[in-house]
Amino acid sequence: MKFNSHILSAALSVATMFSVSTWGFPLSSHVRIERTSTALRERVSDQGSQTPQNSFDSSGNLLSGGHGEAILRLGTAAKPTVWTEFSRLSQQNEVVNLGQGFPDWLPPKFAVDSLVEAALDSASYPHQYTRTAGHPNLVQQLARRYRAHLGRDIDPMTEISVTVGASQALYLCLQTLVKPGDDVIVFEPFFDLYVNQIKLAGGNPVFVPLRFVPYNEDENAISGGEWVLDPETLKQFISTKTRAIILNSPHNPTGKIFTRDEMEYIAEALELANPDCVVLSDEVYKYIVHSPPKERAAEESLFCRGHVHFASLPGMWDRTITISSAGKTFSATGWQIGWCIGPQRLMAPIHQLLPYVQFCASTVVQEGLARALPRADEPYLGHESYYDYLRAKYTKKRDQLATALKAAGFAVPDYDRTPGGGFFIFARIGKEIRDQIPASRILVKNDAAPGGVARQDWALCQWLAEERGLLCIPASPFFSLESSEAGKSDEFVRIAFCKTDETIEAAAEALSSLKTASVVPDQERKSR
Amino acid sequence: MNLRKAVLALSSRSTIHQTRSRRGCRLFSSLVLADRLQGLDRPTVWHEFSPLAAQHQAINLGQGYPEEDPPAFVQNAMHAAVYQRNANQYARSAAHMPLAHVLADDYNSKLQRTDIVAETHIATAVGCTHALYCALMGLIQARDEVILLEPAFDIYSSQVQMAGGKAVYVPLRPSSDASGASDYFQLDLEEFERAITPQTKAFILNTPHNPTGKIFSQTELEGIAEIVRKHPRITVIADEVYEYLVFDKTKEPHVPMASLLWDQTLTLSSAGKTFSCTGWKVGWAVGPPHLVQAVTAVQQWVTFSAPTVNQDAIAQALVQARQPYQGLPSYYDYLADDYHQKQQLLVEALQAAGMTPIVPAGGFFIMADTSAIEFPYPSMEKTPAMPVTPMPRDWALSRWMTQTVGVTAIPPSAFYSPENVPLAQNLLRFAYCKNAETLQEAHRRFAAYFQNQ
Repeated sequence: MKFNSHILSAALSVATMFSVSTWGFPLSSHVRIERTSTALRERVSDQGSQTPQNSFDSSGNLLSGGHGEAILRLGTAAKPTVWTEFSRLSQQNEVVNLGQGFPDWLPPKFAVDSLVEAALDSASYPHQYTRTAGHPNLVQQLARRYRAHLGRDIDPMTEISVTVGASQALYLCLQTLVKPGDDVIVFEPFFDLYVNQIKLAGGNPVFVPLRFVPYNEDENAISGGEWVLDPETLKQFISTKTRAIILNSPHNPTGKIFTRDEMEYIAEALELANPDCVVLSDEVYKYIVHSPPKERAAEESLFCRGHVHFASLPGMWDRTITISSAGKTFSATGWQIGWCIGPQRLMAPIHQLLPYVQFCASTVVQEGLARALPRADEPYLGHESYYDYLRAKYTKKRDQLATALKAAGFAVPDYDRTPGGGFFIFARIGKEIRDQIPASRILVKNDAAPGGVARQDWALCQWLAEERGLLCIPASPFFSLESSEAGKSDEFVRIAFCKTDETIEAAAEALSSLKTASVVPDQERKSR
Repeated sequence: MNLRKAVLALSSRSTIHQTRSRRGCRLFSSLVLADRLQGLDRPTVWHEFSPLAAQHQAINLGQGYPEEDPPAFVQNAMHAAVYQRNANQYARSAAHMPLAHVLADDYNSKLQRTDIVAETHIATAVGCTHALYCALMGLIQARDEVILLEPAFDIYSSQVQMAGGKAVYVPLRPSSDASGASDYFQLDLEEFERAITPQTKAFILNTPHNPTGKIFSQTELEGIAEIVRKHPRITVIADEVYEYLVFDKTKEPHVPMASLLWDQTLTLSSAGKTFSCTGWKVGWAVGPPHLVQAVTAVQQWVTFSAPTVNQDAIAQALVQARQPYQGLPSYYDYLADDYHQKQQLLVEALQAAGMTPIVPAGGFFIMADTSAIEFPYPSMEKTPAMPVTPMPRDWALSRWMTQTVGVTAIPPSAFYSPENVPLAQNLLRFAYCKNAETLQEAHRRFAAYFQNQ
């Protein structure tokens, strides 16, 4: 049965994930795990309990009990992940952490002030349940902004849903759209959340690879480049089984901005898909377009420079759900306010699920955001608006990091010729760096790595964390297993610059050691 | 009192859309998906009664959220979380550690254990509702059965259905003993045991119980535990959100199920009822690691984490709540005392209407016996939300009471499966998480109507 290996790894992983503790603490005395040599099998027994909750018969089949359907569908995603593993590394080693995708500074004052004001405004009932589909003040504000973004009238009550972060917005879209057996297209590389949410909905993730085009095509040069979508590639993978396409622009992890042409390929390709196929446009980084496409100069608006909303393309409003959130924009990822915008027929099922999933998102945070949004349009610290300030801030940091990476031997995009957004640099591992990675670390067994094996990118990141005091994220978790095993992700790492200048400076210092250090045997260096 | 806000909040409790898609009545295109969501697009009791109350300017004692703001120390905690503690970025997915540590301490103390560890035995979620959603998604496979006691909070059956499971109902039956809600509403343990099949995967136990106010006694829980122990496949999901709204700690204390059946119990609770902050949405699940994992494994991919600011503020609040407050030994004592007084006000108001309140041991709802009330019934009226045809007596009574007397309650038949609706005929559920003024106004209206008949 196809699920078997997933069940077995899920079984192992669910036990190990938290018994080993994602935070690096020793195995809890409550949980005992046994493995056989032939199959991953586990018995989890709690102290004092007579019968294990999750057990297997002698053929390795899961006995009744144990995991629910969600865990079975997640399969290997219920085991240690790149996130749990690199969090552990950050806890156990002193590192400059450029892995996590969240800022290490406070949100802007007007935003935190807005939240506190909301909490103090008794008359508006900020502390009790609010409308399940979204707090009225907030949806009014969102409708106002999206009218300008999309050039159409947006009904705040029927065309907007507020969720716990963009993650949940995407989750609910998939829950309402996808039935078991449906295909959902993601562009590779992709944010791994997408794939796991597709699995939770019972769908099949279908990977449409973006093609890396180096500036210097010479085989012996390792240069930066750009990632492109070929229309023919997309057409290969799209079919009447395709129920949704997840578009992420600006793109995590590459920072790519999908061009207008590429968006039009997608719009055209929809003709080949299921007539009910919907594009889920994840736009959480849209206010961080640090290098806008030149051809868009004519379209620039104060509102959202350099970003094209897919839903604004001709005919696309009816087939798109636009997803975004406050977290990246306001440097407040812990607020967890997201939303989706779309035609009523697509929003209505989400409105129906929301009461049962958590009833409503936090009222006080929604009210805080509703107050912060108009303030963000006002002049801020010498800039025309907070959004302008944000973009300028990230551009400087991008440059600071890019300089350090190049000096250390990484190849990065040239932002004068390649548009970019978001706060990650998808850097290519240069030869000199590659040669420094201890060979004993490459292609070794590692439970958290894709396929259970640490390839070059993973090995580099683990070595950098344990030996060089710098934490970045390997590229392989953003690729399908097939692609990473074929080596497509070997050369890339994702490095965040949503960090204070001091942090980036410290990273630069750690990186500079790559240029000068000779290879030192692992045993001679201790983690602290 | 803010009727408009109430309507807004509760009329969205079921967000129906009357305009149907041109594609036909199906809003969902797949049979499998439609099965799971079947019935979830029907209007619910909230959608009917909140607008009705507003329309008639009735005192709305139907809605279950407080009129009070959270206490100052809780609001200050949010202030500190935002400004001083910088809780503005993603929390650890399973649970924000400061909150997990406080919960581990609290539960070790409550359950008299020492082995609850923050990193492995605690999950937090966006309110208890969300913790329950994740738990069911993580534990239930298609066609698994989940036992619910009736009357049951309506979200339970919907979530069981969404997880692909099947709800099996065991009713709490009225007994002739009238000494209070815990004795009045009885669980027949044999009936409970008969409901268990090889497909039974979970049992949702809500104590203190909404809507009855019953607190399950040590004896009852021991009886349940003995039965469940024979079926290691079953997880008891204990929804204990009203755990601090307990009025006689000596005679009827709250007994945590986990203190009797640790290995098979996942304990859920939240901050909302305790700190009058239902809009903050901070809930949690506590138990042995293999059960807590069901919540965290799902949550990682659904929301990633619950909002940090709220979690951090509640972490602080839970510590401060242990301190003396307003002359009482702790905030929890103050809370119980405050609600006890409000309960008294409502009891008197209900008696003025000729109803017999079945006095609750916990929570903030009262079920009242309405057999003595005369009003036009049976009713030929039909509403989309009513559970059976013809309109059940309690449903019709609640409508009549809203329109004629000016007080709104919730008809408990909304919390029963269709075949058990008759058990609710002579009952209404009233909430007393309201200001004293609101409760006194209800009293005035009852007296004005019923004492003039």
